Formats: sequence, structure tokens, C-alpha cells
Amino acid sequence: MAGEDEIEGRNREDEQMHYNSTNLSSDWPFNATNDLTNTSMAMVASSNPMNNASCSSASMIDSFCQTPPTIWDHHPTNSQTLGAFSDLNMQNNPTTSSSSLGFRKGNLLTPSWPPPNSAIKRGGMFLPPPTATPTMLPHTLSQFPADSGFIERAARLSSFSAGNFEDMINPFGNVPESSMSPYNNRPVQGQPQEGFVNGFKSTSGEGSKDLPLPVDCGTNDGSQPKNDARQGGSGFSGNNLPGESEYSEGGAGGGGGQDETSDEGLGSKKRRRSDQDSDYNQVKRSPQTPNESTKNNTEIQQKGDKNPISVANKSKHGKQISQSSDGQKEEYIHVRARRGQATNSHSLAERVRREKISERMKFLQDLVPGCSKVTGKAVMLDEIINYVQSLQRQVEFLSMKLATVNPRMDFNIEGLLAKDMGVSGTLGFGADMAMAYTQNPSQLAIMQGGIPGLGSSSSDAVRRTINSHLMAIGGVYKDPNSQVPNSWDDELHNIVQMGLNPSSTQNLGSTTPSHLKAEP
Amino acid sequence: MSPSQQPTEKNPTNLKNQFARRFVRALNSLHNPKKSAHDNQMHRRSRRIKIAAYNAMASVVGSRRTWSRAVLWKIRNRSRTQGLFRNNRKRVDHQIVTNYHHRHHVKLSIKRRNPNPKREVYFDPSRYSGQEAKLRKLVPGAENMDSWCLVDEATDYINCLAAQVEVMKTLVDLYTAT
Repeated sequence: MAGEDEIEGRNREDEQMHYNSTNLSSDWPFNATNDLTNTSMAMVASSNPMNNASCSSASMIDSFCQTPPTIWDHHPTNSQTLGAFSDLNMQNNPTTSSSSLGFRKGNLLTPSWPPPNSAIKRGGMFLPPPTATPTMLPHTLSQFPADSGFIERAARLSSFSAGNFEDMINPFGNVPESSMSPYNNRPVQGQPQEGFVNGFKSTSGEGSKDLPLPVDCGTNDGSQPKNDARQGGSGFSGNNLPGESEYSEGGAGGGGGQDETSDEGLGSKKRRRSDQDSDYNQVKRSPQTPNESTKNNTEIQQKGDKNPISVANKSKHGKQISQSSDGQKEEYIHVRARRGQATNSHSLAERVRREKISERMKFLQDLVPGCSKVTGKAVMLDEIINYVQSLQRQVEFLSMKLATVNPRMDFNIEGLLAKDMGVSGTLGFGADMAMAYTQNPSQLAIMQGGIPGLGSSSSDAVRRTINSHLMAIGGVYKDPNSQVPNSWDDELHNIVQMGLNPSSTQNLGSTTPSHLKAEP
Repeated sequence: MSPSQQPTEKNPTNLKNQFARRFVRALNSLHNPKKSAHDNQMHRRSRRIKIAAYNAMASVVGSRRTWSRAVLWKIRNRSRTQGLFRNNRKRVDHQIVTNYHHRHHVKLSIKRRNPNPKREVYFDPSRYSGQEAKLRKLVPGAENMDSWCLVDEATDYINCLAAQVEVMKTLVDLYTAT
């Protein structure tokens, strides 16, 4: 799913880019050829009852892409509502629009089609209105006056080739009609084809309602529909860019891709990108949209519905789609935010940070004795602080003790050092100790002086003391065994190399074998 | 920042061994008869031992950790300033007071410098800021950390401190036994 989405997005972008690039070249030559396709489509649309046409298109589209059928079920209703609005002739419009949308969708979804073809088809789809609409919508033209707002919009749409997001939205926001909602929703990247379809459907549907579009297209000049088409394409390309950036940035994969569609009304996730969203919101809110469209959008937002279909959809379809998309949602949502949690970037980052801290806190909890039972961070921190303080105090106390102990043991110290050496040798006090001694010749001399004094005492006593130290230290060093063998040899070697007094070496020699026996 | 810092020692035994080695070496140098004759006072002696212990632990940990860096920096600085003071006292004895203020000032400014300038200053107003502030004071070099790093450092610091205390305890036992 993820890979597909990404690929689709890329392909779409490519297509659109191609479309944008080849717009001028491909569009115009196809005006002529488009007549055929359009007329044929119009024939189909007119001959078939509306529902049939939509169903066929739906099946076709389903074969092309695995979109939820609800999307397409929705078409007939929409067209019906439109039909209720308008004449029978009007009904033809939605059907044709849906069918054409179906074709479009096929173009968009199947990347195997060469881009020029898609561009052509798209051009064919978009361009037909100038030529085909007059045949299709003669009655409607008379019924509906041309909308000046649409002309403005069309004029602005030419600027859409820049792919600017806000630019896109602004003109749409200015549209006074319910077309607002489709256009607002259109930027959705997750299922762009639907957004696309919706956008176009809405245009055509509105064409049926307001009829600004066909009128302008058919009567005034052919350039405007082309603008419209380009607007669609450019809208997608412009929208694709943020979507792509989202892909790379979010790392949420395709699931994220669906969410991170640039439409604000869609995902709750979406709000994560607070910057774009805020811009988007501003742009969206600033034009005073009609109540209907805003209501739709808000409904969609509240439901967290991702599908742009909500455009013309009423709440029912939105619910369906949200339910159908719930399964997909669950896959990735737990990565970022659970339901009901804030989703803007700051709160997400904060949550991640807190999770990291609490995870670390667990380690700390394990470390500090008596802290594992404590619940609550404040108490835990108290415990930790107390522990650190006690440790530091202990260090102080022990150093004091060492200070008091040492002077008294001035005589014995060097002997203890020798013993320490033995002990350290067993415990892995390695060559460094020996190095330290060799680096300190005066000390070595002292040690040599001191050890004979020890040597005067019985070797048994020395052995006993050493053994006791070993016991004491063995309690501390829980597993000295791992380091004993190699370091012990080194230590012995070093001791021999150090050239201690014969007596001391005798002592050590007499004691060490017992350690060796005792240790392992 | 955090992932670059590895835990100091996977093996606590190794940590203890290294620390004990260094600490005993430091104690040996402290018990050099010349020096021991020089400082008879218990207080100074215990301070020196304490500093030696911290120094040994921090140098075992090395520069991998912020707290060890801070400890090493503090100790080095302290020894410098101590040397400075001693020198100054001598100078005062010798009636040479020139340059004192200047040098003192320089040293102080050095002391105040952030031991870890790479870490950005970030105080987050969390609920536990009071306790966190306490912990910051306890963990060396943690004054300017964010709380995640603080917890991380505190974990490591406690680990090392516990090992240090254990080794010191055994050493005390060892010395007092005989």
C-alpha cells in the first residue's frame, strides 16, 4: 500500500509535470480529436440512464484501481441531487462528468500508460467541454447565467501553473458556490485521484448547477477550459510537492502518505504540519466560504475523514469512507499519535520526548534501590535525589575514613600495597599497577624497605590477611573469574620483573599459589 | 546528543576494577611520605582523598560522559586555582602582590565557562522543575541539560557512583582490617 501510494504519487507528479509541460503542445491538437471521444462519451451518457453510466464507470474504475466502491456509489446520488436541482439535460452532465472522471481516474491510476497518453486523455477530458458541452448543455446554458465569479476564477487559474498552494486555494476560496468544498478538499494527496475526480465532478456538477463553467467554455473561448484543466493538473503538481515532502519527511510510509495529504480538512494527522496547516487554514477561512461548504469541511475534520470525497458528500458518505479507511488508519496512527491525542508537530515532539524520558526513568528506577515500588515521577525524582546525595555523602565519609585510617597505617601501607597488588592481581588489577610502581622509583624503594618489615611477620599471618581481603573484595567483585587468568599471569610476571626483595618475592610466592588455587 | 553517548561500562566489574586501580594509585601518591608530612590536617587529607576518588572515577569514564568531563574539568580547574592560591600566598609572603588580581580574574573567568559548550541551554518548564533543579545540582555538569540528557546522565552517574562507593568501602575495610 505504501509503495503503491508513493509510486502513484510519483507517477502522478510525473504525469502532471508532463502534462504541464506538454500542455500547450498536446492540448490544442487534441481539440479536434477530442470531439470524437467526447461525443462518444456524451452518447453513452445520454443513451444510458444516469445510474448505469455511473455504475459502468465505477466498475471500470474499480478495475483500474482499488478504490472503495463507496466513492463511486456516491456519484449517482450526487448526480441525482444535481438532477433534482436541474433538468434532465442537467442529469446528463453529472453522468458524463462521472464517466469522464472515471476515465481520468484510470489515467491517473495506471502508471503503465505512457504519460503522453495520459496527458492527451486528460487534455481530452478537459478540453472536451468547449466543444462537447455545447452539444450537451445547450438548455442549461440558457437556464443558467454565466457566473462572473467563475470568470475571475478561471482568470486566476492560469496562475496555478506555478503550483502555489495558497494561490490555488485562494481562487477557490473566492468561489462563492459550494464548489469551495471540492476545491478545498482536492489537495488531498492520499487518494489524489479521488480528489481529482471530486474536483472535476464538482466543477461539472456545478456546471450543472451554476453552469458557469460550460457556459464560459462553450461560448466564450476555449482557453478557459484549458485553464481549468491546467488548473487541475497544476493543482495536483503543486499539491504533490508538499505531499512528497511529507513522504520523505514523515517516514510514515504509504500509510503516512495517505494521511499527510495536504488537505487540511482530511486527516487529524494532517494537523501535524502546523505551519502548512495554519497557512492553509488562514487561506481557507479568509475567504468567506458559504455555510454549506464550511459545514462539510468541518464535519469532515471532526470525523477525521481522510477522503476527499466528502466534497460533495454529505455526512453519510463521509462516515462510510472514514470507516473503510479506519483499518488503514490504525496501521500507522499508533506510530505518531493515538486517537484523541494532539497531532501538531510540537505536541508530537513533546510526546516523543516524554516517552524517551520516561523510558530512561525506568532505567534509573532499576538502578536506585527502593525506587521500583514508587509510582509517580515526583516521588521517584525525590528518591533518586536522595540516593545520589547519600552516595555522595558516603564518598565523603569513606574518604574521611580513608584519611583517618591511612596515617595510622603508615607503616603498613606499603605492605598493604603489596597485598593490594596481590589482591589486585587476582582481581584483574593488571599491568597498570606494575607500571605505576615502576614509574615511581622512590615508592618502589619505599616498598622494598617496607616489605621486609612485613616479611618479619609470619607468612601465615600475611596469608590470612590476604585471604581475608580476598574474601572481602571477592564479595564486591562479583565475577572476578573472567579476568583472573590472564591478568594473574601478567601480574606475576610484573612482580618478578620489578625486582622485589627476595623475602617479599618469597612471601608473595608463598601466598600467590594458594590464591591461584583458591580463586578459580 | 544522546545516542552518541554510550553507557560507560557494560560490565560493572570492569568499571570497579579500573576505578580501584586508579584510586589505589592515587592513594599511593597521596601517601607519599613527603606529602603526608606536609598535610597533617585530617580535613584536607580527606578532601584530597575524595577528590582523588572522583578524579579516578571520572578518568575511568573518560570523556564519554558529560558528568565525567565536568568532574575532570572541575578538578583540574580546582587544582589550578589551588596552585594559584598557594602561589599567591607564597607571593604574599614574599611581598610580591603584582599581577595577582589580573591572574585571579582570568582564572575565575575560566572557571565559569561552560564545560560543555556544545550542549545547548534548554530549560523546560516541567512540573518537576524543582526536583529536576536539585538533580541538576547533584549531577556534575548537568546545569544546562535538557531533562532527557539529565536523566541519562543521572543514570550513568549513579551507576558509577555506586561502584565507586563500593570499591571505597572495600578499601576501607581492607585498610582497617589489618
